[in-house]
Amino acid sequence: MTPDSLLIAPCVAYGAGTTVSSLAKGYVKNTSCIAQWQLLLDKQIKHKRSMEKLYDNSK
Amino acid sequence: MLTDVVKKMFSKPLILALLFFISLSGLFGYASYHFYAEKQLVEERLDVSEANAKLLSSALLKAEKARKIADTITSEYVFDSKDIIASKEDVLNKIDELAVVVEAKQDAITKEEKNAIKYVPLDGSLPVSLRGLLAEACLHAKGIACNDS
Repeated sequence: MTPDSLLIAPCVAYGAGTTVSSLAKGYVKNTSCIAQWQLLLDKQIKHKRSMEKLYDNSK
Repeated sequence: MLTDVVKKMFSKPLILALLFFISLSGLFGYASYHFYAEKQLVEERLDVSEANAKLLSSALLKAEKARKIADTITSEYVFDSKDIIASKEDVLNKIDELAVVVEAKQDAITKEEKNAIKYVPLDGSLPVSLRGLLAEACLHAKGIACNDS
């Protein structure tokens, strides 16, 4: 079972705003957000595989 | 003659004693049979309990290992996540610094010129410095299309 600490929403999408600066900042925040989600998913996969290994080995 | 001897041998107290010992033997026989069956049952239960204890102990060890793995992975996630957030903040700060420079340059522009460049055309190019920062943000996010930005 995935721990609660890995069952979170790390960030939300940002809007573009009305200026080039806000658009650029939105892009930076959103790409960072994707990276955080990707990282979270990687860790969830890692945890799942570790649990499978732990419980399959001891059968 | 012989019947008298037999009669003397099996006098009433002797018969009573014999009956008493027979019943006592029967009682002990039954008791030992009963307790033996009970002992077998208890031994069986003990075996089952031992097996359960071993299973529980193994499950406990596994749960402990699982908890340690979860803690390690969560720590890794928090650490790596902080790294991503720090990179993002760094790029955001650089964009803010860039905006300050642009504003300083715009102070030198007249009001008419400012009105003329109020809107950025959709197909207009982004400033090179900003494009560099956006590419940097994409690289931090390990985006596959970073080279296009």
